[in-house]
Amino acid sequence: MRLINEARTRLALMARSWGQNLLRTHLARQVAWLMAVAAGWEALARASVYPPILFPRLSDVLATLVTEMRTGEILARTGWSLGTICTGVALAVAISIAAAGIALGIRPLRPLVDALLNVLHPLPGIAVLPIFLLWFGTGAPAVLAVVVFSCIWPMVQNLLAGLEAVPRTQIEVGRNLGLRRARLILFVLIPASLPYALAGLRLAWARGWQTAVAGEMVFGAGGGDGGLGWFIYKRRFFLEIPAVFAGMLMIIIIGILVEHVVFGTLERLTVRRWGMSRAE
Amino acid sequence: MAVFLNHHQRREGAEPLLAVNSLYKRFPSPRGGGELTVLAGVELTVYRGEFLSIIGRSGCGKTTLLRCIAGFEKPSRGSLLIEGREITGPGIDRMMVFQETDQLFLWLTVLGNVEFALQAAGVPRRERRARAVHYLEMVGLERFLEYYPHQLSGGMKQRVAIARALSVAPRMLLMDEPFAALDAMTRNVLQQELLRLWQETKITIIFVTHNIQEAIIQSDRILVLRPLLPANGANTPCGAADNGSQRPLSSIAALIENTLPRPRRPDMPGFGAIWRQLNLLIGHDGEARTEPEDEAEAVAESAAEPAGAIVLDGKAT
Ligand SMILES: Nc1ncnc2c1ncn2[C@@H]1O[C@H](COP(=O)(O)OP(=O)(O)OP(=O)(O)O)[C@@H](O)[C@H]1O
Ligand SMILES: [Mg+2]
Repeated sequence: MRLINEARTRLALMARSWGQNLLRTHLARQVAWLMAVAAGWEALARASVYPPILFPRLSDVLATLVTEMRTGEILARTGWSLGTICTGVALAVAISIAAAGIALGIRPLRPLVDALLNVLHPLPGIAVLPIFLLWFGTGAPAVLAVVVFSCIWPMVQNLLAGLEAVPRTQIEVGRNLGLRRARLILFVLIPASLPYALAGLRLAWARGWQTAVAGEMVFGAGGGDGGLGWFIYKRRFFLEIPAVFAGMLMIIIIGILVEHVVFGTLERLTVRRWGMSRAE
Repeated sequence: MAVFLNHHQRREGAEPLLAVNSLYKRFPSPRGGGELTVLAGVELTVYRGEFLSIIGRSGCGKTTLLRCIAGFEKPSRGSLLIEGREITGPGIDRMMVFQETDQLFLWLTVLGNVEFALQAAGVPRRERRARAVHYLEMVGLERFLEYYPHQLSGGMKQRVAIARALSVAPRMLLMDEPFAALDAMTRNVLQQELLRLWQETKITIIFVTHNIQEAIIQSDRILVLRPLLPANGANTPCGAADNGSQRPLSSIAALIENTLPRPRRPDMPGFGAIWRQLNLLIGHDGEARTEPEDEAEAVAESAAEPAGAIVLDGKAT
C-alpha cells in the first residue's frame, strides 16, 4: 500500500514537472495561447454577438474541414495549389540560378541584373496578374507566371548575396588546391553559400504561396478547376462561410508543414548540422 | 627530442627551392590615384627543407610577400621561381595555411576536409581515407575524424588546416601567422608540434609571424621586412633614395641566420642576443613588446656567444 502510494506521488510529481517543462517551452506557450484564442472564438460565436453566417463557430469550421477532406474537394484544390507553387518555385530556382550565374559570370551584365532586381522586386506578383492574364491567357498559365515572377527576385537576391558573402579564405583554399571555375563553384561556392540559398528558397516559397492563393481568387471567378484560392472564393460566393474558414485553415496547415517540416528538416540536415546557421 | 642541425653545413649542400628576384609589389592606392608600393627589391632564396620565418612591423608587407609566393598576388615587377619554373598562380605545390580559422570547409567533417584536398590533388579514392587519417594522426586528431569544424576549438581547426595542407605533399608550406589567434599555451603546443612535423616530413616552411620569440624558436633563418611607408601614410616612390644614400630602398631590413642549437628555449645562451638584434631591426614603433622570459639570464650568457649572423639587405640571397 505504501509502495503504491509512493509510486503515485512520484508519478504525480513527474507529471507535474513534465507539465511545467512543457509550459516552459516557447512552443508550448504558443500552443496554449492558440487554444485560448480558439476557446474565445468558440465562446464568442456561441454567444451569437455577430450573425452566425458571418462568424461561424470554430467547431463548425473544424467539422466542415473534416467533411471536406472526406468528400475530397478541399484536397483536390490543395493539390492543385501545391502543384502550381512547386512548379513555380522550381522554375524560379532554375531561372534565378541562371540569373545569378550571368550576373557574376558576365561582368557587364551585373548592373542589368541588379537594376531588374531593384525595379521589379518591390512589385507584388499580384500586381502583374492583369497583364499576365493578357499575355498568357486566363487560367493556370497566368497564375503560374505570377508565382514564378514573385519567387524569382528574393531568390536571385539571396543567391547573389550568398555567393558574395563566401569568405575569401575559402575561395583561396579552393584555388590553392587547384580548383578552377566549375569545380570551384560546385565544391566551394555553392556549399558555402547554402545558408543564403535556403533563406532565399524559404522567402520564395512564402511569396509564391501567397501569390498563388491570391492569383487563384482573381482569375478563379471565370474558371472551373482551380486551387485553394478558387475554393475559398467559390464558397464565399455561396455564403458557405465555415468552408471559407476551412480553406484558410488548410492554407495555414500547409504553411506550417512546409515551414517546419520541409524547411526545418532541410536546414537540420545541412546548415544547422554544419554550424553555418545561428538559428536555435 | 634533441635534434641538432648544423645549418651552415646544411645550407652548403642545400638545394635552392624558391627564388624571389627583385620583387616589387604595388597596389592601387585606396585613396584613388597613384599606387602604393608595399614591397620593393625583395631578393630571396629559400632552400629545400629549411624553416624560414618572416617578421616585421604590422603593414610592412609580410602577408603580401607570402601571397606573392602562393600565387594569389601577381608581382608588379620581378619574378618568383619555384624549382626554376615561374610562379603564375596558386598551386598545390605551395600550400597556404591561413591565419583565419574560417579556412576549413564547414560542410565537411575533419576527415572530409582532408579527403577533399586529396581528391582535388587527384589521389585515387581508395587511397584517400588512409592517407587522410595518417595526416590527421600526425596532428593528433585521430579521435575527431567525424567532427564538423564548428565543433572544434581554434587550435584544433588550425591543426586540421595543417594536416590538410601537408596531406597533398606540397613542396612548401606557407603559413601566415597561423597561431596568432590562439592563446599562449595552445600556441606553444602547436609550435612544438609544427617543429616535430617539419622534422618528420622535411618540408620547407615559410612562416610569417609578429612574434620574435616564435621566430627564433622555430626558424633556421629569419627574414626581417621593413615598411616602405612613413607613418603618415604618404607613399614613398619605389627606388627613391633612402636618407640621401644612393642605395634603392628595399623591403628587406635583414636576413638572419639562426644557429642556436635545437630544441630552443628562451632561456638558453644566445637567445637574448638574437632577440635584441631582431627587436632593433624591427624598430620600436610603440607596439608593446615583451622581452623573452628570463631575459636577464639570457643577457648574461649571450654576451660571450653571438649566435646570429646578420646579412644586410641586397645581399640576402
Ligand atoms: N589588396 C590590397 N590593396 C591595396 N593595398 C593592400 C592590399 N593588400 C595589402 N595592401 C597594403 O599593403 C600593406 C602591407 O599589407 P600586408 O597585409 O602585407 O602587411 P603585413 O606585414 O602582413 O601586416 P600584419 O602584420 O598586420 O599582418 C598594407 O599597407 C596594406 O594596406
Ligand atoms: Mg599579415
